[in-house]
Amino acid sequence: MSIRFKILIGFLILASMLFISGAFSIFELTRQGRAVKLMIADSYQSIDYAKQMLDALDHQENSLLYHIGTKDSLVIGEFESASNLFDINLRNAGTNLTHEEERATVDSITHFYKIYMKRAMFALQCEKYNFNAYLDSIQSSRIKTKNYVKKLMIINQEELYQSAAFHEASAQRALLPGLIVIITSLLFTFIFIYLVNHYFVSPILKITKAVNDFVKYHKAFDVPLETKDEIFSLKEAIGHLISYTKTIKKDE
Amino acid sequence: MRPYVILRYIGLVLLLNAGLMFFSFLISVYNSDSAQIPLLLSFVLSALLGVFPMVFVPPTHQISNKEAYVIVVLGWLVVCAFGMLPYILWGGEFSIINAWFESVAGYTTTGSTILNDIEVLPNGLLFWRSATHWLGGIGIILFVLVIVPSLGKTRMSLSRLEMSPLAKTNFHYKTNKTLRVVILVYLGLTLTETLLLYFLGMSLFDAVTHTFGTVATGGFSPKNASIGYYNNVWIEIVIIVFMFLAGMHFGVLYTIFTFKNVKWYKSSVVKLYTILMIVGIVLVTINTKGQNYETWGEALRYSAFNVVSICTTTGYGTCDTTLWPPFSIMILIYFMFQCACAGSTAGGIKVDRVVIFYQSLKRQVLKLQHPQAVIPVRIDGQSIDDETVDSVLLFIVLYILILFITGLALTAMGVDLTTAFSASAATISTVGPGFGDVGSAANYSVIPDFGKFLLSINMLLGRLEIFGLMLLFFMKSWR
Repeated sequence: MSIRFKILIGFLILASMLFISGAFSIFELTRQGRAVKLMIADSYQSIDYAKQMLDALDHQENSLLYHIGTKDSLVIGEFESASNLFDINLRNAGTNLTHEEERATVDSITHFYKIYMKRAMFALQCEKYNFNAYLDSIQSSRIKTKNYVKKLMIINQEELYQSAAFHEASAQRALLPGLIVIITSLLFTFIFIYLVNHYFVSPILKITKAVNDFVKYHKAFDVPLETKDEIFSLKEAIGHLISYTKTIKKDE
Repeated sequence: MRPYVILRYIGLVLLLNAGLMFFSFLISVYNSDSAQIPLLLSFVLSALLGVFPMVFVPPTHQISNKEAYVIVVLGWLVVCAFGMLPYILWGGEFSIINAWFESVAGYTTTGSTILNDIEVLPNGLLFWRSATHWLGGIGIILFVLVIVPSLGKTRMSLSRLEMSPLAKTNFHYKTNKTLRVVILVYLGLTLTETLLLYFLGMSLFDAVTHTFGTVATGGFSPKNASIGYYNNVWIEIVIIVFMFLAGMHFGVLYTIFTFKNVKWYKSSVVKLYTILMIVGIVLVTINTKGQNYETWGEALRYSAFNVVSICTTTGYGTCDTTLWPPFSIMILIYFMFQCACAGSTAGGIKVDRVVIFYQSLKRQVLKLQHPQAVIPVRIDGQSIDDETVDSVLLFIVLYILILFITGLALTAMGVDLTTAFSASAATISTVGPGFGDVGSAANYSVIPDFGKFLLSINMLLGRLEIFGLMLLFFMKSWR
């Protein structure tokens, strides 16, 4: 096998290893990035839905209390638009579940909000509804709904923190494949250098020494070589040259 | 010593390893599981690093003893290191030390695991795990010797070092035929057991992986409950038979299956191996009946499987043996030391050494009675030279010493006494499960990281029969 081919293979292997290392790192980083983005987006959206639900609930509460105090029917419209906003966000939160506990919390919000709405609608339609009736009947379901919305928010905040910690560990893990390929490449490089030295550099040095010895001390040109490559051809050529010179000298 | 020659042969070993990785990758692709990229990357790295020295270094037909030792020992270390790549790259419970432990336990056919949940592993990785057993069982270097046709005298030098020194004395063939016999028996056992397990109701995947674990006397199972998962007496009987056969000298198996006119059953080693195993099963059956099992049949079923499993260093389990009475546990501990026959895939002290030890003990007593007498140690009428007897006795002493040192180190790390010493014995004998926290129903995840590293060295010492690995550290003084 020729030297050119051997060196070419060596560099090709080295290049493949570097390519694998780079490709794997890019693949892992992209995968990590996508996973982080998805996780954060999911948790962030759920937190946002919870915030909007809390705002809507406060708005409904204000309208309801105003209605109980003043019997002004104009606020019913505001109550209903806040209720619509709550429903939309609750629906969105229900479709953005990433956790089993989140599902249970959304179910609880739906349950208590239904009770709250039923009682609040009754209060809005009843002319004689007063604050005491509100405190006895509506407030408990409102507080429970609010608490569960807050719980939904906390669950997602915690999940955000946990996913950040998980991705930190995953990022360290993602480094491993790249690191392994780099270590293997280094090992390969050492082997490559050793073999290049043994099969190319060392024979050239031996040939140089043999030629010098021949010129200086007229020692026989004898270099033992293991491989039959370009260096072997060079040695053969030098051998021929020496014998040719000897023949010319004899003829003279 | 010529490092480039060593590189060439280690490259060959790596290529063989890469071939099996590629096969595992194909299984992973077939199952579309998560081990595809880890197995592919491991295959590419092993293949690239393995093929390169072959391009540069021309074949050598003669290698020195020293070079052969380095090839065998480094070959084992390198395959263990590359064999852990699929585990590390896959992740899960595999930290670097856990992956190394699992890899060494696979190749050395110990079968100890650090996994709390084996069944979460993808099929590709489970296959790779069992394939390391199969490759390690017969000896990676032996495989290379058979696969590569043009090794000349190198074949003899390497096979001399890869096989147990006692095993070689029982083979009466030339190197080439010996290698062919070993591989033929190994392949024959693998094929027959796979077919039998498949026909008894195991899936093909389970049949192959369990066969790898049995014929290599390894013990890795793709199920958390090991063979106990199937709760099938016939499957247990088939595995008992194949564990027993895999624990016998492969040369003996060859003479049995080729109907050669050799009275193999007269061999004192085979006789002792069989008789002791039967005695062990009977004693454990009597001891566990009433205490652990209600009927004689049940007691015999569990005793037979677990005694044979420990005695042959396989390590499969059908029940939690740590719950057995102390007498039964002591019997298992004895078998953990004695193990199976030389020339098999089993580790440990081996019955052959026990026989030589007993005979030399007998000679010593006779010498006390007749100080002038020349009494050779004989096995089956053949006298054993003093050098072999000395090396056997030294091996047993070293074995106990290593076991004690590792046990001591583990207790220093806070591991309890039973766990520490049984883990040490189970790893140096390449059995797998011990007692205490590393019993047949548990795993090695509780052992501290440095302890796992020490136990992995134990496994390598056990597989390379102690002296092989030790020689590597005394290379400089070897002229």
